[in-house]
Amino acid sequence: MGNLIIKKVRYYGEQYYFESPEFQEGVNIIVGDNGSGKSTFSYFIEYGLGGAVKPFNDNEKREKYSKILDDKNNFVELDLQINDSLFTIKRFINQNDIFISDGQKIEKLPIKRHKETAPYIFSDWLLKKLSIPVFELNMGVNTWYFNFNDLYRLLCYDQDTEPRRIFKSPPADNFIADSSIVRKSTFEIMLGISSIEYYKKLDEVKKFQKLKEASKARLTDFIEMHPRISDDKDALDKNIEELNNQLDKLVNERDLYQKQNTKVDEKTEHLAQIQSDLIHLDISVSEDTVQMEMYQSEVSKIKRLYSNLTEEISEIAKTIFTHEKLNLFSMEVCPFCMSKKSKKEGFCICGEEFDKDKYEKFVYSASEYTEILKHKEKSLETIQVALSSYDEEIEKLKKSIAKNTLHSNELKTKLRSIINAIEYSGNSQFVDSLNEKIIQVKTEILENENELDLTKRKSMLSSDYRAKNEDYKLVNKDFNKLKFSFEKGNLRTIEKFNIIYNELMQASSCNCNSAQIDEEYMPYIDEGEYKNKSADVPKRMMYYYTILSLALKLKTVKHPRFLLLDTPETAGIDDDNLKHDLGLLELALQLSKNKETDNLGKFQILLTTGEDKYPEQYKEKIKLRFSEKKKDFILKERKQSR
Amino acid sequence: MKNKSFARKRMMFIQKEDYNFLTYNLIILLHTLKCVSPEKKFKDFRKVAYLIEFINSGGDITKYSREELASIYSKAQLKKQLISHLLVVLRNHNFIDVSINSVNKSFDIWLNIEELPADFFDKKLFKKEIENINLIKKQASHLSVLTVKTLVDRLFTSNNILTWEI
Repeated sequence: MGNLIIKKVRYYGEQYYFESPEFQEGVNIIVGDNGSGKSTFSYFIEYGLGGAVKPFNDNEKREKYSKILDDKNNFVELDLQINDSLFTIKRFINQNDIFISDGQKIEKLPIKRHKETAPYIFSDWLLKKLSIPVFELNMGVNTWYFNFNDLYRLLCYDQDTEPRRIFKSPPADNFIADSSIVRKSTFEIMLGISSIEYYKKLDEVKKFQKLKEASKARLTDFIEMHPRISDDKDALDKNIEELNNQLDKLVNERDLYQKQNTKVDEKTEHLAQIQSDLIHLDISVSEDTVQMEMYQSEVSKIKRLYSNLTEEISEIAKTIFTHEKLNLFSMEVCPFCMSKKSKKEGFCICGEEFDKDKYEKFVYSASEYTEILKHKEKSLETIQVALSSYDEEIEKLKKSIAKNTLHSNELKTKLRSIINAIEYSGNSQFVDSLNEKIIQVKTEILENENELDLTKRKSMLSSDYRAKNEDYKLVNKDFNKLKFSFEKGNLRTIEKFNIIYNELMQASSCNCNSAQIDEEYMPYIDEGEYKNKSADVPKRMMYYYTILSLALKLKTVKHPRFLLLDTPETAGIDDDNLKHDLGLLELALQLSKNKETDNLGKFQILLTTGEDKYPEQYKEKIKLRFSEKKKDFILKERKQSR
Repeated sequence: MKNKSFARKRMMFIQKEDYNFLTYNLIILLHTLKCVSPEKKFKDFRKVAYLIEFINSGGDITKYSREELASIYSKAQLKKQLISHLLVVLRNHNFIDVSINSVNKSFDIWLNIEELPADFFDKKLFKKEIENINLIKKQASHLSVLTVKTLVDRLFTSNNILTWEI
């Protein structure tokens, strides 16, 4: 259990200052009329404890507390006693840092949390001192850390909050801060009925639930995307195996077929044979042609010789004719002088002896001419023989060429037909069809494998979901166990709360028969019967008293046993009723005792109230008085005072 | 007859240089050109040497190759001497008449046609030679009165044959 006691409240600025007397344990009364600064006093405390006091905020448009805001170098300083340890905490106005001094060293802590720059804040420090666990609540996307300010909502009965709302308005008006779950949590923590384990477990449950739901969403999405994926992995495996076997078979068949088709090679050999034959033929044709052309050119030469010879023969015939007709030359008569000479063998007409080595111009007789003619004619015959033999040769060659050409053409035709036959019977169609089948099977395998992948993925997802669900269930089971014991413990605490609250309410000015709190921990009076608006004040005040009472009664209650009551004069409650209800504090304190003889626990109440608006018995407890009428305002001007 | 000396004689027989061969060509040429009187004499007998080959082998000059023409031209030089001898023989037999051509330092000739046997001019026998002479006439007009130089120009020089004699 923790204990918070405020020993002193100070304010210092360049213009104003305030210093409270030392407050004691138990009840401390601060008296002042309206506008004298009672609320300012409670603002100082709240501000000093890290609260957000709107009038002290420079950014606030309305309700500006000008005297404070216009002051300079001003701060609030509180002397605190927490569990018998003394601390001085100091906060400058409009600053969000708090300086904590334990008399030896000064620590500066921020008020606002920031994940990176300010993970540890003043509230954490204070709550730790008060042995109140700091925990986080996950609400949707937001994470909410429990803060002393939330606790303070049940420590301070202020005038700014409508009494029927019970809880002091949160500093920030947002849906999280004033949500029912935050109020409930605050109440539970305050009464110690909540445990860190509980909330941790709750968080865990939520985390696991989230994981489970995400996993389930993934599975659902997957199933939606692939609605026809079967779960039968084995069947798919079997299918793929079968298809692979089929593929192997097909590939083997194709390879075998291709190997067996050595016929193609034979054909190729045959082709090569034909080609070589063809080449030989073509070579011999060209050789023959060359030979033939050579013969032909020789023949043409011989023919020319022949024609020349023929010409010569005809010329000799004419020569003979001329000789016979004119008889120009005879060896008896000199052709030049025309005188007769006797012919002498071996001598010319001129009488010279023939010299074999010298040029001779012969004169031929008719018979000699004829002999020459005959000779020539014989040569002609020889030439004719030669010519005809050439003709024979040429004819032979021609025949050979024609034959070879024909054969070559035949081979070419054959070659063409064989090539065509190869193209036709190459049976590429069969191989093609095998290839097609192979591709088809491969495609099927791929499809099956894809499906298998998907199936694996699906089973992975569903097993993930199952695991997550299992985890969730496990955690949830633990949580429910915890919740059960927690609620059981709660129930006892709440029963005790209800007993005290009921008794206090019955004794209060509310005039009710029965009072208890509902599931939301809010007052439920006379079965929901309508009550006077003024009944809201005791309803709230008794609620605060009950918590204090319970805190003194049970060590498990985390409440720091501190109450600041800023007297509700505006709520339309009679002075007498107010006095009466304030006086019920004594009853609350009495009810905190388990036995008559028990001592009261340590606590502190700071009560600000109007003049004469307090129970008689507390007169001695007045520690401080402000009065507007007497110009005795909480803030003193420095010049005047000094 | 088939003795050794005849074989030699036979082998020495050069058709184109035989006197009788030359004779009939000359007579046919003069006859065809109608050079049968002093008025119609064939001026400068040397032209005959160039013409003989064409008379025998063909009158169309364009059908001869350059080599053939060159060979004909050179052989013609040899023929000039043979023909000059032949002129003496033929003059002795009175088959032709000769007059001195002082301008060209040569002889002009013409046929004594009445001295020649009539059947010599058998058109059938020398048909080819006559045709050739007529062909030559077409390519070298005034064949009988041309100078040697003009004839050589027309037959050889104009066909890009190198000639060296006037």
